[in-house]
Amino acid sequence: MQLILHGKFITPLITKRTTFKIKGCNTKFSQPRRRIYSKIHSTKPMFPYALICYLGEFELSYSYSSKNRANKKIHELLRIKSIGRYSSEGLGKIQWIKGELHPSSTRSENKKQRNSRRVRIRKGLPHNLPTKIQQLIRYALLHDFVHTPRHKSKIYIEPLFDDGEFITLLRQHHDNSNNVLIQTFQKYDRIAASITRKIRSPRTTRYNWYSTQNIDFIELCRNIKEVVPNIWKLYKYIYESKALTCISEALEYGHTSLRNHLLIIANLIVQDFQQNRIEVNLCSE
Amino acid sequence: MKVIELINPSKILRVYCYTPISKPLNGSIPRSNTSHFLRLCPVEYTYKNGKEEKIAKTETYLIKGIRGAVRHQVMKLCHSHGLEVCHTSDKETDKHGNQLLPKGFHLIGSCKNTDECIIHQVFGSKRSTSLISVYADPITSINHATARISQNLQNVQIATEHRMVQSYDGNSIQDFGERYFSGEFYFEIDVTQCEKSQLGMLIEAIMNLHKLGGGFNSGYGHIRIQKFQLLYRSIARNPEWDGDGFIVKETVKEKVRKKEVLTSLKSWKEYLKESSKCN
Repeated sequence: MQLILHGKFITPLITKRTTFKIKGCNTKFSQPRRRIYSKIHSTKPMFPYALICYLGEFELSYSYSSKNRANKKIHELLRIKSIGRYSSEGLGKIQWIKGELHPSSTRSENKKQRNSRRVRIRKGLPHNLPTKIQQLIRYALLHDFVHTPRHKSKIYIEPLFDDGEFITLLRQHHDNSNNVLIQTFQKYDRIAASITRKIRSPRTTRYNWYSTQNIDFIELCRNIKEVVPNIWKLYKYIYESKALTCISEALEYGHTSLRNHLLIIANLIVQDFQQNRIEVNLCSE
Repeated sequence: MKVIELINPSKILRVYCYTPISKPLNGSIPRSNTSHFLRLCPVEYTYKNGKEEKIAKTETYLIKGIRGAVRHQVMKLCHSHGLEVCHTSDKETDKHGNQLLPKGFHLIGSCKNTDECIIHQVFGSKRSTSLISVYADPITSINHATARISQNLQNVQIATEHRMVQSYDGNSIQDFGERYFSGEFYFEIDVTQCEKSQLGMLIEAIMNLHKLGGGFNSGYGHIRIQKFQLLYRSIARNPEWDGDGFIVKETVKEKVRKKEVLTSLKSWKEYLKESSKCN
């Protein structure tokens, strides 16, 4: 069951986002009005601060199991006069308007599925992935660790996998091929590269601008080889690896990291699979 | 349905003032050469046109900088009584070596762990919260005499002043505008958490308050205090149930306290005596 409270910010609330939390409850502005609050220091010769803030009507939602809990929460929330920064100067003043109690079934029916194109980097891969998608993700996560005609392995050493055919496919990831796996991978690789490659900053080594210490590439290669059979373990290893964050994805772009590049490709594939956007050819082949 | 009182009574110091012209501005809007107030949400109101009732919208604005003005007045007051208190600056000199900290003050927050000054207790600093909160109801300019508004608004005169920086042959080369307001208004200070001596200090500072907003040396931002009240306010927000939902109704009760003003002024004087003995 869900409690929905409607209110209004009379004076602006200093926040960069239109979604925030009040006492642990999710809140969003229904019709946000953006303002900029400037603050002057009369005693200092300095430029005024400019702070982004929003005001207008908002909607707060809280899911509860019993009516007692809902009543307690209403008491707790209606006590609030103002929230946020500079509330002592009169900012973030709240006016509560009305509330609604929704039984869970009707609320969940009305809830729409969000199909945003924004990439979310997951902590781990979902469990229910078909074998073809698993293969594509494995291909994506390993593609930069092999020598190709265009570049050497980005960790300098090539881990020797048991699957010989798979390595030959990995070595062809820059080529014009009729293979559907390679074609689909190339699409995601380009998208991921366009996301991360923003500022051109050339480097002569694989260490990027954020790296502070030397990396043991032999150990890194050995560790990757151990987790190759299981894509969930492989993803987790890349996610937690500190060494891969210090390696640049492209020599021309020294601010990028190999970890982010690999994770973005994997997450783009998972996101498209969950939203039924991935090409059917790959699954049917 | 059961009616629930939700908020504890609070102590409010309400100050009524008058300004001929004042400019507590927020800054210019993009692609405009006019400095504006901080604009809030527009409010709907009804007015009578003969026998007919009509609906109109009005823009509302926030009066900024009251808390800063009060703080500076309190600083001045403490300095005149020989107390060493917090300044608003957190640096002694700027990068050119110019002195930022005047004599008789210390850096903001430097007294926090040793002997906390009265200004730091009341106004706080970066990592210690303030005891008071200052708020003024939004201002607006409505010309209809029969206007009925549901919200708390203050009706004043709001207009734009056009100024010229450079002119040639009667035509302006560079010009700019500044919004100003004029009329009677009020603001409130929540002093629930303050002690009596702190309240006395605030009252004495408010009685001498004469400045708000920019351009004081050019004749703008002069304030005349007309009246002030100490109120005990209890707000009850009652959720009135209606089927699945409820409407929040707010009822406000206020009581004027006269004696407490005098006792707090007394305790402020005692505090001054004690501090002068210590020095």
